[in-house]
Amino acid sequence: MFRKFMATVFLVSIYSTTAFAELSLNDLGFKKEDIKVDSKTVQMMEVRKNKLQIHQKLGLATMAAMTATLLLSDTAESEDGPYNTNNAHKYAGIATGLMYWTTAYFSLTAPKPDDMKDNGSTKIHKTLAWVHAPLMALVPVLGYLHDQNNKKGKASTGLVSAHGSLATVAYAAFMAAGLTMYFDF
Amino acid sequence: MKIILIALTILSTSVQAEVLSGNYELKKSKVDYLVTYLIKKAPAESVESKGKGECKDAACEFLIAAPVKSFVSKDSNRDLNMLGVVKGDKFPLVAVHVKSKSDISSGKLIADLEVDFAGIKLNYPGVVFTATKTADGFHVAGKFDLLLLKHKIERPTLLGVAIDENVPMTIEADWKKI
Repeated sequence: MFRKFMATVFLVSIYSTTAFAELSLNDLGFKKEDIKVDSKTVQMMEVRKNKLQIHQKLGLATMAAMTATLLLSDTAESEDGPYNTNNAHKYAGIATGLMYWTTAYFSLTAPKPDDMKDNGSTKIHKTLAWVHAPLMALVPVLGYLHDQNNKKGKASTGLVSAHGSLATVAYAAFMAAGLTMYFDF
Repeated sequence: MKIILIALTILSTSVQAEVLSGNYELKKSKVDYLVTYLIKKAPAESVESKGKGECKDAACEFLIAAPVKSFVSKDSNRDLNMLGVVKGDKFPLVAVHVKSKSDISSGKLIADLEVDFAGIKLNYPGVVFTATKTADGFHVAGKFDLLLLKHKIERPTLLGVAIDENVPMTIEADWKKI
């Protein structure tokens, strides 16, 4: 009797189908306005993403050009070297400047949604731009003036003599800005 | 005598067993994902999930959903980018349909998940959650890898290198019996 009862219980447990009430997203109580993602924001972010990807790649190329310019600076003073390194530093500097401001253009013209706040790595990245951007405007002018002084055989003084130091600060700030996007701080 | 012994065994087992039953509502939850770039990792989390569930006849079904825009990382630029990547304007919710047994005596809940993400439903069978009964319901915690390519997600890139295809998702949830 008991065996028959257990067998019945076993069979019922195997063959019974558990019927659940249909669970629906509508039952969860989300309000439409709370979950809605504005399609204009998504479109704007697509444009932003494309521009910032160019900014990213140009930024890397600028890092390389800036490094080369800095490495060439040591020999920039010697007019009579076999490779005319003075001009090499100058042209590398011009190329760096052009690349730098093109990189900046893609960042500055990337659309930004109103509700976007800069935080995390982006905030550090942008804060550092306040250091390297003014310097990248100033350093080429100082470089030109320093070159003019050199040609006239005059020693540079004041801010012009700080061309190298300011360029190094710009380089450090720019490299740090780049690295913030690739590493977590 | 034999019958009494068997009955006592069954009775003692049923007393020890922790079996979920009835209707449940999500009380509190934390869902996070971890995106892995070439040289860095970016976590983001949401605490805005909602869910309901029902357990009966030794089985449970739950439905949990979170607005995609509720996932927040340290970088709002990344979060807004993510909305485009996951087609958030068309599919604003990520929903998980969970089916499992109701017995959590072992401290585990092995569940079959159906994840509806970016407009693609995908099954993730046999996901193991730790499960403990609480005063008013139960607590679960578990992890599974979301497969971006299978959800037809175009993976973001950094330096031309796409993020990892597998995105670990960690779920912690407190369910309350209603």
